[in-house]
Amino acid sequence: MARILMIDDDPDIIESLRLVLEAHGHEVHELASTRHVVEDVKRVAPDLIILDVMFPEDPQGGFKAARQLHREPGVNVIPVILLSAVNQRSRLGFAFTDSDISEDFMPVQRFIEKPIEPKLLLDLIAELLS
Amino acid sequence: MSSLPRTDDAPGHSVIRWWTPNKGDEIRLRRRELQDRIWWSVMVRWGFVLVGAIGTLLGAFDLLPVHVSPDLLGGATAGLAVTNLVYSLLAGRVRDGRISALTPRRFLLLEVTTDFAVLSVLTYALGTIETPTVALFLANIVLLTLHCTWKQSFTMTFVAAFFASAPVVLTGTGVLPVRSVLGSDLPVRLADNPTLTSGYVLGVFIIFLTCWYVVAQLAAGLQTRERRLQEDYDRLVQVGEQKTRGTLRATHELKAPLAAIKSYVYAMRDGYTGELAPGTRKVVLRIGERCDLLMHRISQIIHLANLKTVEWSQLNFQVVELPALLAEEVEEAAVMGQARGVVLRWSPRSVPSAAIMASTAELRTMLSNILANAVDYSYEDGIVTVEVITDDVGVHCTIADRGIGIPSECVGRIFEDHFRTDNAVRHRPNGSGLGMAIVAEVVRLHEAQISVSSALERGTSMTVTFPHPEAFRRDQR
Repeated sequence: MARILMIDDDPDIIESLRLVLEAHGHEVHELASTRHVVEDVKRVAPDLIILDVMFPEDPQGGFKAARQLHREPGVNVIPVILLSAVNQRSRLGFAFTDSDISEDFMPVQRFIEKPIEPKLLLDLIAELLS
Repeated sequence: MSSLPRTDDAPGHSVIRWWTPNKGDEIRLRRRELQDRIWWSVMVRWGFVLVGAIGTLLGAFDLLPVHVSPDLLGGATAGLAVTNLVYSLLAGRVRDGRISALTPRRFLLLEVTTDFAVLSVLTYALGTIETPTVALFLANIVLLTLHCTWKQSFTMTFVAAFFASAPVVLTGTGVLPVRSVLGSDLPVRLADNPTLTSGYVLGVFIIFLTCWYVVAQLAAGLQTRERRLQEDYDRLVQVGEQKTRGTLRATHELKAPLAAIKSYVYAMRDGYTGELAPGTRKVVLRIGERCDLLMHRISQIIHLANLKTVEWSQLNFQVVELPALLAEEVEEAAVMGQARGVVLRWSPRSVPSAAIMASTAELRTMLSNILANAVDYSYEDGIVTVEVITDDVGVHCTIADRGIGIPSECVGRIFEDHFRTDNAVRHRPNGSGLGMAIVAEVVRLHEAQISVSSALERGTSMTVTFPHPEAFRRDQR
């Protein structure tokens, strides 16, 4: 079973997903901010990261965190799932779809929209960790 | 951005043609107005060529009551005909922007300069001051003052005065022989008297400049009013966009907590919080359904707000085969229709191939919304007919149902945000009233037009007319 780090400012999203993930034996750690994301990830040493996009301190905090992690040797091998309530066609200063996943713009393994069906999330985690 | 409905109601049958203006339409309209004027002046000139040709023929057989030189009149007419033929050929290319160096305004300046030269010859041929030919210069000065800059029209007024007085000056200085068409001694007296010649030239300059000044003042007043109206319109558009962006952020703020609620619902439904009693499970599922409905509405608001703030140049427009793409959407709608006993079928008139310029994602949204409406507001066992036909105007896509219809007084409002008719609310209580507003925005982005024809309890037919690919935003590409 895996150690999963959830980075999201919404405690209810973390809590609802924790119920699902812990029931399947995963160890869930949480972070509410991306301010010291590289240090926090190094400290927790997760197998997988679930990352929100918009944070109160920075509406594009998730993207920036993903780029910081991608640049950091040692942690850039950890798979990242970007999980956001932002509509894929939103024009809140940025717009993106799955096809925008790239090393420069969105260096993550998957982008999914909240809320996610528990089974889909579990299958995705299994796929990324396999 | 406001939308302009045009209605044409008949008893029991309401029709609306909907067109939403795009940014930059006012510039295109102004440019088109100038192009129309150019075309109009070319046509008027052909009229003069015809009159000149008849006059030359009659003059050649000495059938005119006045003494017009057939050589001079014929020469001026031939000159006008040749230059006008060139302009007729060029006008189309200028309109299509195929000659980048020749803007419609430069084209107008060139045309008018030629007119001045031809009018100068005509003034001489028709006995200088014996006939009012010189007044024809004024029509061109008015045209220039309305469509060119202050400096351009002022300079061209001097050019006009120069060409208008040239025959008098040239006969007065003996360069050209004096001509008379009426047999009066006026041209001779004018040519022989330097004071009269100078007075005539001065008079022409004063009259022309006065005409230019009066028209320029009137035009400046109208332009100021037009500019103020444009500024007010721009401000309204800006306020509308700010409002839309505010809506976008606010709805996103609503979506995040709803996503959290739905996430809990998933966890409870799948038993991650323990086994649920049947009654509790029913309530949890109902909460989930209401959450889905609310999230769908929020997504629609966000989608509509996105469409309202986006311009066509920000989307990926490409040539799309409309019948093929529509067939995929019809297939999806047919599944929805099956559940409600509604059949979707293609009209036998429909063409298998019709290309349009479209942004595929937005086009799909538009077609699926119209099809979903047709299915939703059909009666049980209803039929929805789909048709794509083409003609010179464009590609017409019609989706017609035999459903509940739209009350005639409401047809003009169906593209407004959140508008729903009473019969629609009774038939489908959970609709958002945003589907048609989204359709209207997609229609705007595709420079298309939509017309709606509806009869209460008999059905509704919607036709979207797309321009042919070569005509799509031709003057903006």
